[in-house]
Amino acid sequence: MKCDENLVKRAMTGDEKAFEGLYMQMHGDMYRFAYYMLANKEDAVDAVSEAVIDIYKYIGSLRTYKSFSSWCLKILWTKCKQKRKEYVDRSEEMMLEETMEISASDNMEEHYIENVYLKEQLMALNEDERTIVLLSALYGYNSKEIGRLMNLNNSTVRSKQKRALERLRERIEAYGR
Amino acid sequence: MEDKDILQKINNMAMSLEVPEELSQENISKKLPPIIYPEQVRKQRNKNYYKNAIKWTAAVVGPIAAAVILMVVCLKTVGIMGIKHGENGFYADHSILGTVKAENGFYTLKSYDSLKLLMERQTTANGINDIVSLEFLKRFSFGVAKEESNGELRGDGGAPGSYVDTELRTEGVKEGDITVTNGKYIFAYGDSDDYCDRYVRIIVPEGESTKQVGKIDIGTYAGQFSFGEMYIYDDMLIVAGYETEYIETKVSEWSSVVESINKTKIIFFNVEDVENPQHISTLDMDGYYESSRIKDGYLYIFSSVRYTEDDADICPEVNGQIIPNENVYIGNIFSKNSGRSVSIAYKIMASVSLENVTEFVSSIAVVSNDSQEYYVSTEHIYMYFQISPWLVCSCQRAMYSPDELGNAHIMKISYDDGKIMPAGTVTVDGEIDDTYCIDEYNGYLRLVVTVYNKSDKTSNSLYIFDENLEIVSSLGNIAEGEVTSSALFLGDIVYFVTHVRRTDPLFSVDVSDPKNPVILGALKLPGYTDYMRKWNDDLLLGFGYNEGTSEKLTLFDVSNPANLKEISTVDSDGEYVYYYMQPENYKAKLISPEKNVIGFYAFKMPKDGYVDGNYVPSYEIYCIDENNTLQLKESIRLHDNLDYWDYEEYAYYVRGIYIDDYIYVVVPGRQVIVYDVLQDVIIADIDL
Repeated sequence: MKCDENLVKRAMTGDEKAFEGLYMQMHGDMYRFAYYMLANKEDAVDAVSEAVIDIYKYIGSLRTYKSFSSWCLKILWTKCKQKRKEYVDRSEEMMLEETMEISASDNMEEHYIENVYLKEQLMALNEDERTIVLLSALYGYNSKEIGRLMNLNNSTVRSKQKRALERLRERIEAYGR
Repeated sequence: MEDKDILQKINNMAMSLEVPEELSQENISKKLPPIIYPEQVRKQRNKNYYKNAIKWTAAVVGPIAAAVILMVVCLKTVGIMGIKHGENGFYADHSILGTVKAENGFYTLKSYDSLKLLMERQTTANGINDIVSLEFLKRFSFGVAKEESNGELRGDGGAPGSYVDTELRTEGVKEGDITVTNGKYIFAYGDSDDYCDRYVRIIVPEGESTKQVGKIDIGTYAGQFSFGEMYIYDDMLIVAGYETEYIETKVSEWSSVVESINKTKIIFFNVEDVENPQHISTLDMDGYYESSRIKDGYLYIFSSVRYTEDDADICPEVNGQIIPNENVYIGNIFSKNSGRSVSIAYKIMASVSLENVTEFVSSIAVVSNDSQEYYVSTEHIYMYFQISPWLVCSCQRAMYSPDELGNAHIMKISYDDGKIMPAGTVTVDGEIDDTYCIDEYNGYLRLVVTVYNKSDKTSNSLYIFDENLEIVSSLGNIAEGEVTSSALFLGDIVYFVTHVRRTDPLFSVDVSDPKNPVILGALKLPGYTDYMRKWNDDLLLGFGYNEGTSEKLTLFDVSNPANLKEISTVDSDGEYVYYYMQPENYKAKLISPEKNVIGFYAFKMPKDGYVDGNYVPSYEIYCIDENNTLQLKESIRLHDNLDYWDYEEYAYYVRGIYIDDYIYVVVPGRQVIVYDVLQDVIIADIDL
């Protein structure tokens, strides 16, 4: 996640303006990750809000500004996992509603429909696979960095990533046909 | 569609998402509680900042360096003296920065203060925070004497020939694993609650009388332990991993924050009496445990630790002793733009004599990028860093310096009799897929790589370097549009597989004359191979992927390298199709041409597709019959009381151990299933 390290340093000393500046830089990235982990807006907003509160509370005690970005992501990911446990079935219903709305309308732009389909395929991955793909796509994390965040070994991350991308490729190409 | 295109699509989709009003600055501010910063935490932060500034300017590193420091402070937006803008980004003027050139041509630290200088943050003209990058040292000719190396292991324990040892990348260089045997006992790592990492279980393999006879609680010797691997060496069990220490900082009466520090631990036990294992010693090194090898009676351990200029102490330690700065070498470091944590690290390498495991014999550290991989030959350790452009979508390319992507930056390090010494470096245009794609033979370094940088399409190349890492020959533009998925160097011949999607040519190349490699043959097949292993002089075994989504085992006839043939392939047991074999994970495979047995874990699903609950976690055992056809001997179903996703992890952990015509299928912390190879029957299933 993009964050200005000067702002991080200042926020760590209690500078509220600096924290505000950091939030403006990061909240989009955080929301996007949470949204595609949880598949609905309300829960993503909750997860991000709860994560930001924790980050705000504890930023003063972080040992080093350099770990700030991965620290925030870990907090957010934990919030997403907690949220996910609460509602496994709800998200499927909500996604189905969204899909049905789209197919009922002829006026939707094609790329918007494609995005809905892509989101659907992303949600069809299991949680680990989706996390790995999102960390690669949104933040450019490599398998070692992902492994450390998710406490998985390098081999496992690579094989899950390979399978997930393979599955997505097949489905995207099938959609294109 | 390439992987990076898929990631780009996802990124584009995500970037088009509107952030809801509920997450606006104004709305979030209403939810935030009053900040409670312990006064002493804030004051300490300020004190450290000024203390470091004073320390640096007062440091006795010479007037030139002091002037440099002052110029850094004053001229932050312009750039640091001694750092010039080269074609490929920044590079270092070592004469100014306080490094010294060692006899072997590498730069080492004059003092740790000079490293602090190298880690100083700069602001570029664009206002993007950017760490100083050092030019990667390209080629050095050191005149290192070619060392005679006895690749034999001393005293491997057990009864030679009665058991199949861990799969090795290099014959003569022992590697650890999560489950090991000396033929008398099996030492298996795992805990009954989850895969965390607490007990070593000692199992006596006696066919249907197999039982656990002992247990070592690693928690007695290390705190929160993340297991790496084990060795059994004579009557000594060696457990390697890292311990995480948590530091708690109280922020208020009712809450605190916990941060972590990692320390590699090597724990030695005498297991002559397996019912009463005796702890001999524990050695530690800073950082994460990465890998290790045993050669000629010495254990070599590699760990990785990161520091920042905010850390008061940036001196890496082994067993409580700071590594002397003259043993700290400058390796490959690249700049990264903001938004990513900088991954500069010390790669620590240390050796222990297995005759005396109470102290390290020697240690070095290399300042380099964190994400390194290793290939270890009988003579050298090759440590290499690369970032695959394959998985970097265009929006993220700005985060990398130009020559980071698509190049493999290799450091050659000699190791012998416990001594470790950098010996050379080279940057290769191309990406190394795995440790089998790089190989040292008769002093020559051979590589098969995927090349990204020359045009829009990928291609593949074979390079051969001499012992001074000077290029001797190369074959390029092989299989345009494809990537290398596996390679196998067998002396004078190399086989490698390239693929696009799921179609694979298998190439054979004659490398008997390093100056003149010649492609002998190519076999185009559906699917592709991710790991190859020699079965005998005429046959290769391959683990890989099918044209569809399943995984497979293949036998290749290579008796005539100019006319390669696929002669047998299996991707199912007849009813269930194989998945999650982790084809490239060679340690998880049981492969013994001598015993004519092939064992591997597979997570199977019915041919007509997955429905919740109808999967089968299984250990498959194959042999090769007189017609050179793969034959299924047994499918051993494992306990299935776990979540679906945990069975994917099984591919990494499950082992088949062959001892005296039995195969012991060990599921860490859970069960051992005993299969009688001669009778073709499961004879025991024991809960751990």
